[in-house]
Amino acid sequence: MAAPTKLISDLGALVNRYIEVLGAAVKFGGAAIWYGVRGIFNRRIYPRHDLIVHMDYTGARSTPIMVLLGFLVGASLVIQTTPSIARYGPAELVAGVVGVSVLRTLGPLLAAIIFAGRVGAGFTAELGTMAVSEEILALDTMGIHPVGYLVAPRFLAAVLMLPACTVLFDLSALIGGYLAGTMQFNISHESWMDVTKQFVNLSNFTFGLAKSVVFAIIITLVCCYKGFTVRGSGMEVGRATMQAIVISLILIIFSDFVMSMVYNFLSKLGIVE
Amino acid sequence: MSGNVRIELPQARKDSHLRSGGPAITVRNLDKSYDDNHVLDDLSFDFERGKVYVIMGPSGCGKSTLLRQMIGAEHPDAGEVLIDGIDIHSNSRRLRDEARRKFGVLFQSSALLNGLTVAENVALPIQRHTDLPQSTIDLMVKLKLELVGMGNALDKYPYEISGGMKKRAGLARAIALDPAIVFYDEPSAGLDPVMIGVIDKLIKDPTSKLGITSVVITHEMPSIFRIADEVLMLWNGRFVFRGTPEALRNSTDPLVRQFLKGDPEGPIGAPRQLSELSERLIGPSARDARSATP
Ligand SMILES: Nc1ncnc2c1ncn2[C@@H]1O[C@H](COP(=O)(O)OP(=O)(O)O)[C@@H](O)[C@H]1O
Ligand SMILES: [Mg+2]
Repeated sequence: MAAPTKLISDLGALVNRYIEVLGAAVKFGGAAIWYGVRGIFNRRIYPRHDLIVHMDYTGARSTPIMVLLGFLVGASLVIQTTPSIARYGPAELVAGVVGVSVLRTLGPLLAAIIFAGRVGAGFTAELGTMAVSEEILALDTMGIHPVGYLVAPRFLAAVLMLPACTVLFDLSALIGGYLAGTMQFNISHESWMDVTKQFVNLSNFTFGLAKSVVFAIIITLVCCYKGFTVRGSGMEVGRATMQAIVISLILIIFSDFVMSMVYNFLSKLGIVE
Repeated sequence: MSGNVRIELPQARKDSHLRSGGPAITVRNLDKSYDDNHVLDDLSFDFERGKVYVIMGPSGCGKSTLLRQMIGAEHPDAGEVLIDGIDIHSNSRRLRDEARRKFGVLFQSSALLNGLTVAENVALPIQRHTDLPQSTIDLMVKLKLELVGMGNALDKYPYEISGGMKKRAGLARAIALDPAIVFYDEPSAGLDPVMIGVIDKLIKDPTSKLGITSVVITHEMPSIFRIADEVLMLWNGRFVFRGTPEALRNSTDPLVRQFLKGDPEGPIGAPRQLSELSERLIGPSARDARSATP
């Protein structure tokens, strides 16, 4: 009799704890968005300079890796799918496959994964170190809202810069695919462009971009929250960083799936293309 | 270095003054647990204005936890903390801010922001709480840093300076707005004896000259006897001693005696693994022999 009651109370405690954490995380996210927007007009919330520093770090410095990896992904996609496509139809159809899959799914998803590893991990490590050395506590006692001061500029920077990185990644992948298709498989420039125009429309691109905004929100909130809640020693910073990346990746891929389902549903209703 | 450099700034000082003749800090029935760990057990006390209070006790007994409740950084499970009569855990942000403006905190790890220079760190609370022009803020920052003997390190980053310098910069930041109360969490940990003396002087001088209330967490016995007006010893979530340094010296309480002598044997007890290890290495006979000798 004792064992099942204990199991139930343990389960209850676990659920309670999850709800507590979820509540804290939602409050945290709300504060980040609220102060991020207010900070645009009120220079006391965080230094303007910080926003520029974070935009440089998250955006400008991500450029080389986005361009390089985008190019390679586009090229290998073409190299690996063209032979199969050519077996059942005209090889140039690969242009459409690459265009749609890169713009709708691969571009936003891979850019977000690279971003999580490069930028998100940095957020958790930085903020976790600050939490351990009481810097976040110090801000709070000085009457400076730590989420406003530390998270808001990172949040804004990421929400602006991940879509920018996604555009770069998309473009590089399309160029990589084009070069592989025309040079490796002798598809002519005209037919490549023709097929692309038939398959790809603007909504593929905007849908991908909208997803990247959602991914940026997920990455910043998860990684900053995990950093803020580090307790104890420097060892914990490493653990928190690993957990932040794992949770970010799960949420990114899961939300990508959900958004794709919703989009399909809406397009069946004729609300979107 | 002079202890009485003080800038007259109506905006900054208006709020930092204590209003009443009542106690600077009142703590009532404070309770705090982390999961099963009952760290603070129904603590109640008053701290008068213009005195130095030292809180001591073994590592992990909850001194920093008590500090976090007193500065409003964490919510206690029960009880209240009044800073000059204002509830630091009040639901009103305005009241909390008002209470906060009355104190500064020097954290155990100094807690300077690593991305900012020493001067920018000290300027932070001034920028946040006043509308002073930058030139005035620069002047205030320079004066405070000179007060702690850091006048030549304004543009250094925290990672470029030593632990002692960080402590002093952290202190300059804590007193940037001339607070009526200053909290110090282990200000002398990891410092050499001379630097400890410097920090002690920085704690003691303003307290007597300006009527500031200081709350100092420390283990440093020479420090305690130099600076304390009253000493409190925290153990098992409660204060087992409260009195003057003189009374501390003459206390017959076994806990206090053990702590003052630094005796590994006694009611406080070394961590279990440690005593097992020493037993294995030295043997129980050695241990018995030692406790038998006076
Ligand atoms: N945020 C926290 N979460 C869980 N346990 C904590 C936390 N902070 C402190 N503790 C525990 O509370 C006790 C008191 O810690 P602390 O106040 O830091 O001690 P002291 O400052 O006296 O060395 C310790 O057992 C510590 O492990
Ligand atoms: Mg401590």
